[in-house]
Amino acid sequence: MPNRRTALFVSLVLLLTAPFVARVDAQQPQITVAAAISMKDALDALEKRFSERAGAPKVTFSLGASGILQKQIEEGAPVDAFISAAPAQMNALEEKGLLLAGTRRDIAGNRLVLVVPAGSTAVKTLEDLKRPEVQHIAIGEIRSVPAGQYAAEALRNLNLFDALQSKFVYAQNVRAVLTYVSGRDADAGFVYETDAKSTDKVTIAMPLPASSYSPVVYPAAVIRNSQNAAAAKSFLEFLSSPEGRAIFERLGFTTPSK
Amino acid sequence: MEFHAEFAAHRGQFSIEMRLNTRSARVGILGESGAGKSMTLRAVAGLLKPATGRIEIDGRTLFDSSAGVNLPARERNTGYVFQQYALFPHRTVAENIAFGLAHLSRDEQEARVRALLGRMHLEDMGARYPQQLSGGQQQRVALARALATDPRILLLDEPLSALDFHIRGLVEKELIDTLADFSGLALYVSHNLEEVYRLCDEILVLARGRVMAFGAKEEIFLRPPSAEVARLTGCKNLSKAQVTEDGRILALDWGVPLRVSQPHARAQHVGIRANHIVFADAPGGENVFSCAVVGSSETPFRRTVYLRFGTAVGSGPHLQAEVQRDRWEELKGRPMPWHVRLDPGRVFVMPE
Amino acid sequence: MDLSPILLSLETSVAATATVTLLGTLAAGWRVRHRGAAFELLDGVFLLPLVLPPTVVGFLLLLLLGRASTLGNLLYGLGLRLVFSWYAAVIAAAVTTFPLMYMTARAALEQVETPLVEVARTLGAGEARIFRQILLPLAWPGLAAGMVLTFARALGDFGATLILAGNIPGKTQTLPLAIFFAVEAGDTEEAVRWSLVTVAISLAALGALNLWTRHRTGLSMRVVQQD
Repeated sequence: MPNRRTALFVSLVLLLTAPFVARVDAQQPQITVAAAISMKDALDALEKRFSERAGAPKVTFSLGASGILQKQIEEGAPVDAFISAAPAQMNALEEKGLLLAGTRRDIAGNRLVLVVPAGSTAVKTLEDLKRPEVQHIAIGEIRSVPAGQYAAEALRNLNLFDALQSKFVYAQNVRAVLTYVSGRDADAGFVYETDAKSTDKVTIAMPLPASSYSPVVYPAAVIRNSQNAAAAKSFLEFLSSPEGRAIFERLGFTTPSK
Repeated sequence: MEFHAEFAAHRGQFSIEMRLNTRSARVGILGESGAGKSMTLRAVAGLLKPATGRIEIDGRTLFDSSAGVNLPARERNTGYVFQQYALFPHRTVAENIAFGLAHLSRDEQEARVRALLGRMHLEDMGARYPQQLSGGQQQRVALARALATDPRILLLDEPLSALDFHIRGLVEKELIDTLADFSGLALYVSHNLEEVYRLCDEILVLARGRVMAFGAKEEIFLRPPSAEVARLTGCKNLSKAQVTEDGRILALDWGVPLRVSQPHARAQHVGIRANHIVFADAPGGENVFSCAVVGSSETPFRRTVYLRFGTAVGSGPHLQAEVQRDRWEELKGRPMPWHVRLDPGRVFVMPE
Repeated sequence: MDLSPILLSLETSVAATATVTLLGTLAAGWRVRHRGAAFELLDGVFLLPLVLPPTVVGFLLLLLLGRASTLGNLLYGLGLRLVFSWYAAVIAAAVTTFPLMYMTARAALEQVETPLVEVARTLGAGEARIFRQILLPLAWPGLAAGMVLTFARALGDFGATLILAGNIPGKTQTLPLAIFFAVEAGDTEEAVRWSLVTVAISLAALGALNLWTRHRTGLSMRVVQQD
């Protein structure tokens, strides 16, 4: 039975050599992809399939709100690729010349839906939201959450925004909207179709009319200063491949008809 | 008036066994620090719950473990004077005294407070706050507050200890006057024997949580039942003893045989008080022995002489004698050896 | 400009401070009289919100009071929709600040000398009277300090308020929430404006509170200096 001293010594050795061992693995290319948090489930599934390919680079995701990720990249954060939840953030980076030319593409799309707590039948249409029984409607903070922006745009175009504004509870991200609705503290909420499908605690009452809001597209691009441009490109190509598109569609995203 | 208190109480490692049955109105509890004196008062007041026992005054049961009676402190109607007075610093003197009178009307309260202020010579102090008063005045307020509710039992925990030495005598006299008007039982706790002797009729001597002696004060002082009680009551001259065939008592530590007037069945110790030792002019005579002076010390009031029996100067004194200053002037020129006389009527014998 | 965050913050903080002062002092007073191992466990519960991140506190409150829970559903049935209400903001601030007041109140009450309480008992006072007339007045400086701490912390609560009360401008959007969402939106100017307002309110309120407590402490400090 090894005594404590020996065990301690061995642990120390392992601890000190671990970084070197890890480095050995880094013969294999690694890329960091900054991505909108709303894509998390899809990206996990895609990365799993991607890693099965021989010689595939190891992909690490940095997830967050698109706006914050954009700012981080502007400040020089060392990411290889960026997947945004809306064109605005990608446009900002493109204008600043931070994208690798020719790598930008839309990899998926999403639809905005009205959700209600699972099993609730009180609200079936947008008009129903005006009813007095509906007291709280969860929506992403309009200035900072893209899903909230889209929802606000849609409601304004449908002349419903002013009537419903007093009922809004502004959440800091889409997941929070989902939490509020699935917990039944909010009577309804606006989320992406993919979010609605990710839990059985909410039901989709109806999708918002596509004509009422700008299309939700997820652009992706390689960052110009990436040290692993080739590896990053190969990942983005996978996302646009039939295999990648299949995974997106399975999770409720739409894919660009290319 | 009849008071019975027999109980056992514990606090941490310390335990006390009390037995006090008295008809007297002024009982002193004498003992060193940590002997359990305060615990006794707290048990009577209801601030401490004994493990077993009974406390009763004039037939009213305050505590009885076998009957499950334990009156809360607020119902016992005891007056407690704490050693540090525990006056409410955020209340005036008048408000302090009136604190226990909340059940009376405003007018009655005012009347009583005024009467007590007068009795305690605190007439103009009613509106002052405790920290604006001197120590003696604070003590009087504490006493007034305790007396305001007409308690059956007054518990005084070393009431004079916190006072400056020079006013103690004055305050003690006032206390005696106040207690003269008090018709209930006063339990007076102190480690100062002279105070206890002056203020009380009966004395209970407490040591290490056990009652060592109880009785009239003269009995306790003049005929202590044991060497320990003798020591606790200030006797400094004690010796182990043995009865000899000729009816005398041999003081073993001193090496001298003594004739003693006090009848005795058993003699384990003998003793004599320092101020009862007399210096004889010549040797010979009953209980006269030669001795050497091995030291002396002086206070403004008296001189203490340390004596050793036998002419040889050995180690350590046997006796401590107290003489007045003028007597000392007479004695000090005399040649050694000196002769002491231990009056047979003053030597006391202790069965323990 | 919509000034509602200022008003909401003031209302919420005052309401939370008042509630917590009352509850925290009573809890401390009760706890001071009951000692023993079982009550030490209770302390753990009382102090929990201090140890947990505010967001976790908010989340736990949501679990407890949200419609998905038994209790929440019950309250909803009684017509009490707490989540996303102003009351939720007060509850969130009160829960996170309770441990502060509780601890401070306990310390303040325990430093009142025991003989004072005991002599009051022998003079016939019941526990309620002793609490009101002896403990509270003599513990006042400590209690006032607790109130100051509570108000400051309540004013700054973010995580718990956001989760339980939500971000509803004009109803639950307190200053910290307004600042956060201004930053999220990239509106630095707005964020700075609200921050300065918060600092100004804090300084003013704390200054006023300090003046008042110093006045009252001045009265009782005189009397606390016993011989």
